[in-house]
Amino acid sequence: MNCRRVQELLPLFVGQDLEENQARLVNAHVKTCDECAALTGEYQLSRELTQQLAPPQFSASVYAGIRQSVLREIDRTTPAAPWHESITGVFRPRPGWAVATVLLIVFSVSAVYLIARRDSDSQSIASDHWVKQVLTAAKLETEPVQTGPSKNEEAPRHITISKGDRTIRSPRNSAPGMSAPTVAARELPVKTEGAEPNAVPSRASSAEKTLRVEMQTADPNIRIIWFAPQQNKSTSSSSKGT
Amino acid sequence: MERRILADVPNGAAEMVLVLELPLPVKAPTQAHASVAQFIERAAAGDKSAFEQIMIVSQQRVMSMTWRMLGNEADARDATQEVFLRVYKYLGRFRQDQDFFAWLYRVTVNVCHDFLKQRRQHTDRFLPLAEETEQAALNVAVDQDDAEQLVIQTQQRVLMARAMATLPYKERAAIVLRDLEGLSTEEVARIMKSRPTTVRSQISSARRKIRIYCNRYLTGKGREQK
Repeated sequence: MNCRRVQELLPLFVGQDLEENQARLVNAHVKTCDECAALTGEYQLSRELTQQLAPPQFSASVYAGIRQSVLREIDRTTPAAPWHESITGVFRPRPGWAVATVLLIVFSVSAVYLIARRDSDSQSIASDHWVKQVLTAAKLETEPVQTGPSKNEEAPRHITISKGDRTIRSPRNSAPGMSAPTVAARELPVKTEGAEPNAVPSRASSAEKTLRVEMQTADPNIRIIWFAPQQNKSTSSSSKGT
Repeated sequence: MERRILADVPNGAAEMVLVLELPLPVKAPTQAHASVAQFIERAAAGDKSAFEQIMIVSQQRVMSMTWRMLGNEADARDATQEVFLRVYKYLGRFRQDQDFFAWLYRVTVNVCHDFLKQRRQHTDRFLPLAEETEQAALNVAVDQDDAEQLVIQTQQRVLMARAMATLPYKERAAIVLRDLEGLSTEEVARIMKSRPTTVRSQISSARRKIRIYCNRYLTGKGREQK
């Protein structure tokens, strides 16, 4: 190792910052080279002087003043917790609370859905029951149903029964979507408006009664019409209905 | 403590040179570390009395570091306050498996860097230190021999303070942490978030500059080196 290389490593050598092999080589060279040895002495002296750069002995009051300033600044920047913080602190968001809240929401939504579905089922059952009541309450005499020229053809028929009318209001617990519908069980003369324009209405030999029940929903464009065939006890004819 | 025996036998030497190499003992966890650990968790939760205990344990260390970096007592006090404020603010992020004092040194180095940038530290900032040091030394009543020695020592300290002021910030921080605080090169590298090779380079450059500065004023040689 030459002098130039050793002199580059001397600053680290005096502080024991070289690797073991390098330190050994530098040490061996310094022992044989006067110039490098002198330089090593200068580095050691300056390092000793550097290490003597000790700070002055600060008094306890200086340190106490620093601590007080720090604590004062902390109090100033940290807002005081309000009185209700002691109560709300118990309810601070925590992961467990979040999971429990989510589960509670899911359970509540499911319960509301199931209850609403059950209510709609019960209301539909109630509305069916109400219809049956209407049908049984309506005492109508109908003309026998007049069929078209071909029994096999499925012609649309509109049978209106005209013989006075009686308006029956639906109960309050009607099916959802129907606010106070109006039910008209009409006793109207039966006339057929079939698909066969040439069909001549004629009285069939078998007398058949068909009860028509109309229910007007809250929507003026929607009207529910039931056709309930009623077997005439005096006749043994088959009933037809739509 | 491990002992190694090196035998250096110069060629042709009549006698053997026996060298005993005694490595310094490994730094054991000091009592300060143990006392701080119990206060950190409480202080992180907002216990100010626990934080004050942390300050008491570490105030001297921080104050000496800031004084060495900034060169005067006023700046050192301001910087020390700022260090503790940052420690309190970020104590929640401190992990218990970390070395608290290494973390404290890192905060101190960063604060001193901010101070130097903000106040544009120059060499003349160390003049108050020189005056303070000299004045304090002269106020002490000593006998003739001691007075002469004291003056010499004071001059040397002033000289070193000025030499330190000529160093760039990173070299100054590296030499303070290595030679004055006694930390290893690896610890200095962790504190300064740098590589050990970079730290060694900075330390080498700092020692070289200090030597040249001292030579210029002590011996008048001013020998330069590459």
